[in-house]
Amino acid sequence: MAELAREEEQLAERLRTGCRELPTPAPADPFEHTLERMPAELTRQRDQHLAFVAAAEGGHE
Amino acid sequence: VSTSSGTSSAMAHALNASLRDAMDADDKVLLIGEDIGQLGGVFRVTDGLAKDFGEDRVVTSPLGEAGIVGSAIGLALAGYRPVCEIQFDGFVFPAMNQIVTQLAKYRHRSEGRVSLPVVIRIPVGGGIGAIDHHSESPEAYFAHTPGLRVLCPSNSQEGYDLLRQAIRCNDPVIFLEPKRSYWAKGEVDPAAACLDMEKARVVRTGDALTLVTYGALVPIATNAAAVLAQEGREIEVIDLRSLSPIDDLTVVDSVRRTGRLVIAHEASQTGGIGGELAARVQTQAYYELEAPILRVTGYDTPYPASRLEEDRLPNVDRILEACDLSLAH
Repeated sequence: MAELAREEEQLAERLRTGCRELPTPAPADPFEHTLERMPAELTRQRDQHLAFVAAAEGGHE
Repeated sequence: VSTSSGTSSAMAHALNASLRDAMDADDKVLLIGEDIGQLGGVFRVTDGLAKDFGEDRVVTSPLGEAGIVGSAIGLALAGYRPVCEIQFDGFVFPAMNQIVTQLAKYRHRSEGRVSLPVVIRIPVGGGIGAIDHHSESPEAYFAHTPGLRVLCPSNSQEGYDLLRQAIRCNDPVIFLEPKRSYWAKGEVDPAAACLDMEKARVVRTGDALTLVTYGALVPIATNAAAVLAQEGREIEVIDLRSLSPIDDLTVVDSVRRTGRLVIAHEASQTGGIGGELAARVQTQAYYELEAPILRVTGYDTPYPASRLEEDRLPNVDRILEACDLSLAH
């Protein structure tokens, strides 16, 4: 059982590390892949969000 | 059912022809639902398809909507294009977890790696003398769920065209079939050029007011427009067809000319499609509006006993009253 627990913890640590090392998504990323083609209204929402983010970050997108 | 050019068909027959043509064109298209095989479905939309395509492609399922949609998701993951039939609008709710939690989100969750080309056909709406859970208008639940398309045809040609496009589409599509339109006849030409399924259709042009609706209310709205025309007031009637995404541009273009908007739907008012459309129009055409946007809808109650359903359903008189109010501003 101790060996199993050790393997379990190694696997869990590998998963945790992998998740932490994932790149932070860009602000526009959540808007992608909702439908195959992005609808006009969602495009408008994305653009409004990006403009808001850019303004909040001093022009950096 | 004939699909020859210019044939007059009931919408149920046009939908049957659309399914048949889709199954002929692509052997990955298959149907799954309750009583859809030998019986041909409660509304006979799948009549004859099991006989011609076999019970491996027209699968009569057990009575379990979550199982129907869950099976369709699995089939789509395996490369098929399943078309589910839910027997009545009110029966879709046991499948909501599969639809909202899995079907709508798989593409996003997989960052576009996985498509689920599933169509869920649902007979909707009232006007057939039935009771609640046989007369409901659940479109807003689906339109509120990102990752789904929601379509609603209003006549035979649109039934044929929109269902073909829905089955070819790589997104999940909730396909709402107005029950009281099933046996209304109209011309069907499978070879006719058709509008993109995302586009609304201008049914009648006019410059006095814009009247927007969809599904079974389109012919009723057209009748109201004819009454107003006799009084010298030409209004524009728009059939949304796609309830998600909504083609608000066609509506806004119209309202910029007319300055007035009335929206009609059978579904309850609060949280309905009409409220969303009204918000978009007032955002984009605020300075062109000459009157408040009005809605003619079902009331915010459970569907009533069938003897009272005519009181709930928007009709010509209720639509005319709203148009008169708008035009009086």
